[in-house]
Amino acid sequence: MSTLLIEVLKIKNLFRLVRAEMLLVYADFFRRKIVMITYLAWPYMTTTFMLMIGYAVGSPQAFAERVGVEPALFLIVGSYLLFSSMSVVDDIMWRPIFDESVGTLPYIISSPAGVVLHYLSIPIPRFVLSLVLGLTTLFPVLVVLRGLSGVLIGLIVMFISVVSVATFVPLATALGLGLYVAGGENWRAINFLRPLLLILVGVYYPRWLMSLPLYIVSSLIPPAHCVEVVQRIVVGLAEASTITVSLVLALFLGLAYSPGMLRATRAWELRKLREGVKT
Amino acid sequence: MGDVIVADNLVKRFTTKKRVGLFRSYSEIVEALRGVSFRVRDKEIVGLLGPNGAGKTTTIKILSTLLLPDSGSATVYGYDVVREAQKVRKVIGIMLSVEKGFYGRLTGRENLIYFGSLYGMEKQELEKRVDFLLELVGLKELGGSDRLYEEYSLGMKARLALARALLKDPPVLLLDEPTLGLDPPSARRIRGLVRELASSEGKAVLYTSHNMFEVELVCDRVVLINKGVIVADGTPDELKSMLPNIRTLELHLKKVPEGLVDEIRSFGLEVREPLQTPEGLYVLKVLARKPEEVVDDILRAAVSRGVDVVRLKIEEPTLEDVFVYFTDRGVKD
Ligand SMILES: Nc1ncnc2c1ncn2[C@@H]1O[C@H](COP(=O)(O)OP(=O)(O)OP(=O)(O)O)[C@@H](O)[C@H]1O
Ligand SMILES: [Mg+2]
Repeated sequence: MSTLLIEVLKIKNLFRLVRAEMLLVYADFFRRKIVMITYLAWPYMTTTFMLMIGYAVGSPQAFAERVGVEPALFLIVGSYLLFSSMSVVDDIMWRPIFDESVGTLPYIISSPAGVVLHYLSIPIPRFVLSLVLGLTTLFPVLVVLRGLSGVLIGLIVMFISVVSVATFVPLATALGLGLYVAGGENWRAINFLRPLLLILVGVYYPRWLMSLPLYIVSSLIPPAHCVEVVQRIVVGLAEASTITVSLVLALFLGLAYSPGMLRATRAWELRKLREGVKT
Repeated sequence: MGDVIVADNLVKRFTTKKRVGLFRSYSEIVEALRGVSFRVRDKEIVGLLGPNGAGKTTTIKILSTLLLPDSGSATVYGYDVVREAQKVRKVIGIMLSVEKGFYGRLTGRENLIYFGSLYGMEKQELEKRVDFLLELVGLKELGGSDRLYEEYSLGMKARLALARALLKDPPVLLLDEPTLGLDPPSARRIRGLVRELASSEGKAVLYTSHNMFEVELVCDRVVLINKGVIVADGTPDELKSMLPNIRTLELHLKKVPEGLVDEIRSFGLEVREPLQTPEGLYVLKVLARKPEEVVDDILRAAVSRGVDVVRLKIEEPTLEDVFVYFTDRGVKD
């Protein structure tokens, strides 16, 4: 814990690293227009598909009765939260494999900044992008569906997505790098973790309607609580006390996984140093 | 500062899996380093020379804090590469590969800015330094500074890699085959820069290669490694003189006067009986360990007897002879 604090206190270094990561991520984003377009269109596309499937198997009224809100609103908010959280998992799990294959890993490991700080900086640029995505996705839809109060909901959702991502990084890093230490790097591990987290976070289905075992497991994942808060707000079930409890739980879990993140990162680094960082 | 790099009895074994079919495999131990010791002094360029699989990259990785040795120790700039890795990282510049190690979707300049930030450099200082380095390695004149790395030629990639190694202006450079596969102009540029950096800025350089010609051009001293063991260590000349085969000094004379052969023999040298060429010249072969040390005496003896020396030839052993001699011996051991 105290070592994590020391790492975080190297805030100036972190700032530098984040700037470097932004250069890396945004160069790709802005230079390849197709990346940019698919990125911005993604939540709309998923929502459309979900709605189409939904209309095929049931009626929007049934959904509205069961959940208490129109499906479009529920899904667009869910897609947004999912997207911002998943991009964190992807970044963290993908980068070690990517850096090893393009040969940049040795220069990263041998940089004085250290791997832990580097991993803290990796998801930030894409997360900032996801805030932009919030502006293009959430606000138009929310304003259309809810009018001016939609703006307020949008702001709250974006704030909670910040909490969600921040509390998710330690768990995602611990799981991702831990998996690599246990089983060797494999990009298929991403495919294994993603859908698992996707279900457990409960984006497409209200958490409070989950079965008990699923509910308990999903309670261990910080973003699940954030998702629940947002869903409650959207549905109109929000009470100040439940919101507070959920957010405090998310923050607590984020902190609780931090030592795990440190340990997984160190173990991963040690493994690399034992077998030799590939050049 | 005397010894900038000290490697002391480094040992590294890798465990690899031999695969037999889909399901069976057994472990095999590869002894990459079997007790490697050598030193690099201040301002010195040392070539770590050896055939494929000798352990050059393994050695460089240990010194770069990217691989933990099984036993033995090493210091760089006085810092232990295992216990004080962070300090070592601040004083070394590394180049581990010519053809990869950068992000393809960033330009050369952006790549350098990226790694400079990782190394903790301040923005303004970094931008200046990057600009200077792009000029220094010749990427500017090639028009490569602001092109995407993925469009680079191999020569440009190598130059960028050297520029990154120099970002922090480190006192120690660890370069793993920095000219591998490059065309002569690019290779020459890199070699020239390395020499320049050692002589004018006093950097210590460890330079691996399996190119004898290049090592002789660039390095002050050569450490020969084969199968994880150091088999020879010295300046190129010292190494050549370690060869048992004696070199030949060939004199072409108009005639062989009385007493000349005897006088040369009196220097303690072996002289073969003179032979006559079709053009009527006499060829005198003198065997010597170091012909350049006796050539003056021999010429004086000839001139004092009034003979013209038409031609004089010394058959030099090359570093290649040294390489073959020592690495073949290694195989027999
Ligand atoms: N990660 C590893 N796992 C297993 N064996 C390895 C590993 N790295 C190196 N080796 C083995 O160790 C030995 C030394 O390899 P090294 O890369 O140091 O040689 P090298 O002198 O750099 O050769 P080259 O001229 O081909 O680059 C080789 O036999 C190699 O197969
Ligand atoms: Mg090598």
